[in-house]
Amino acid sequence: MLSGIDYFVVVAYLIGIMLLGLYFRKFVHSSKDFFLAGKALPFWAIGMSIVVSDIGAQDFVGISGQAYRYGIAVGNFDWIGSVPAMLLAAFIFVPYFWKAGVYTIPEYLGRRYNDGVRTLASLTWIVFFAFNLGIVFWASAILLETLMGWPQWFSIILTASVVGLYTLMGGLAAVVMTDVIQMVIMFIGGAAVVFLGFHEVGGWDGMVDKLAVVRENHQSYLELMQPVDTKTPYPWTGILFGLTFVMANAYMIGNQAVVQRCLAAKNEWHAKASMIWGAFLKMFIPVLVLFPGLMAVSLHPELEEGDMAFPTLITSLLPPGLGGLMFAALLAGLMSSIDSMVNSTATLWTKDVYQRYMNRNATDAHYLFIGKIATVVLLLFGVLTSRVSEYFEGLYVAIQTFLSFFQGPTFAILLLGIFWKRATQWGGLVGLVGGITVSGLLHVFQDRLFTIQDPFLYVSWWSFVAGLILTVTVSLFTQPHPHQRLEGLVFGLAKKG
Amino acid sequence: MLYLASFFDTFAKTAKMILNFDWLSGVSVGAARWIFLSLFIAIGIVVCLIPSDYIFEGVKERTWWRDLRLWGLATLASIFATYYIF
Repeated sequence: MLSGIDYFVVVAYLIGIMLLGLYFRKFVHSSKDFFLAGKALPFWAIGMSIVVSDIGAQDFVGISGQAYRYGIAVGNFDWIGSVPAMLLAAFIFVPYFWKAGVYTIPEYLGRRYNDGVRTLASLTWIVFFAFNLGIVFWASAILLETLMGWPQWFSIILTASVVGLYTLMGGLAAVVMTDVIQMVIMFIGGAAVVFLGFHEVGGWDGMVDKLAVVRENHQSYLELMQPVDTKTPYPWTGILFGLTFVMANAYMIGNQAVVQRCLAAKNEWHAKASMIWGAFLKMFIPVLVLFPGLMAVSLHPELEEGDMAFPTLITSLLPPGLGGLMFAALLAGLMSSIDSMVNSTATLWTKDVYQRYMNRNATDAHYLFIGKIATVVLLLFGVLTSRVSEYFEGLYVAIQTFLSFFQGPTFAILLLGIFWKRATQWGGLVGLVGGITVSGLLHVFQDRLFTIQDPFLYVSWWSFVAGLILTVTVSLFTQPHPHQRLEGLVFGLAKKG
Repeated sequence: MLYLASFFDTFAKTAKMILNFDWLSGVSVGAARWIFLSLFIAIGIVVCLIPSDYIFEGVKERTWWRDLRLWGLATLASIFATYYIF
């Protein structure tokens, strides 16, 4: 439980973040200001925002929980599962998206393939974000209940209200700039836990010695590489094929919440630099979210649920004042994830669905209004569906399972779309639909088909392969696009004029 | 009928072996680590080969610290060290 000074830190943080977010209200005059921050953001803010949006309170809880169960191998997600993909995005994909002047990734897919692909991709992301929002709210409720003893519904409604207010008023600029502050707080709070945890376990050597006592397989706990026949969800083959080649690229290149920030960069150099700066910052994330899980194994080896590792550690380790700071850090991670998902989903809905199918010729002020309405509706949906997460064993695995369904096929058509000019609209559509179908089938029959636990990495790889094969096959049998339609959309085909 | 059942049994076993990457089970964890390290080296080489004009697109003044290739190489060096150690 928190003390008086902790409450002061938390309340000061909440008020400060809300005021900062509301300050950006004065810059929102058009839908471009709301969705793309007027295309005026610097690389350092975008990079920090990408990182903090990707790492939320659910990762502190979820990744620590996975580290508690399986060890350091879960760090692959933030190291090899981010850095190479972010470099690829920085040097190849982001400049193309930025130059194309699109608002959303599905909008790019629509120009490259057809409206069917655009709509399917957009609706998929909308559904994913909407349910993911529920998971994030649920993670916050667990944390707040453990730390403060607050009822779950009270925590969820408080978070939704604060985030909703500044996201609604300040748009993407408010989201990104509050993320900058939130990242600093998250790094300080996370570092405090790691520092105190190491002090408690007797440093790195002390932690390794304690691990050897409480875990039979302690050596594999400290190995990033797990053998093919491991019973953990992280064999090196899954990490290489499923994570590095597919999921990481799909996430960093095809994820609207990530790429939308780069689209809001003030110029092409800033767009590229933001991704590389983000990749560098990403290197530090596992230290903050993974090491507490390992420390918890040493200090509290008797926990029944891995997801309780982080909350247990911070309640047992942190002195007054720092408890409040860590709590603010968790709230920061949580709020940054929520604001990103909400803003991105509002953009997807307004640009790809509403403007495309419901009202093509409205004024810009009308689309701005629709974006704000979508923000409110989505927050309400997230609050109402938050209890769905209760039925999943591990929060992080649940999110990855959702992602693995369509990440592979989406990346397959993005990759072919930008590098292979022969890819056709029907090839893209069949590749996306067929790939998602394969994902679904593999997931349904996973107990019969796979030998590891939670084979989401393998599912994502094989659905990517299916999407690739289907797109190529159908493209070869259908009419190619005229050359001029592909200018500015395919690598090596510059836009004329 | 028996032949058909045997065919499906063999097919299911082969599919399972492919899907689970059992065909790579002979690769040791140490060798796998070097596959990852080689990947970082390969990406580093590709980054070095990107033309300057593309790197500095949108920049008014070309300074060494704005060279994004150096940023990329620094990040790759840190991930290389991490995978080399762990």
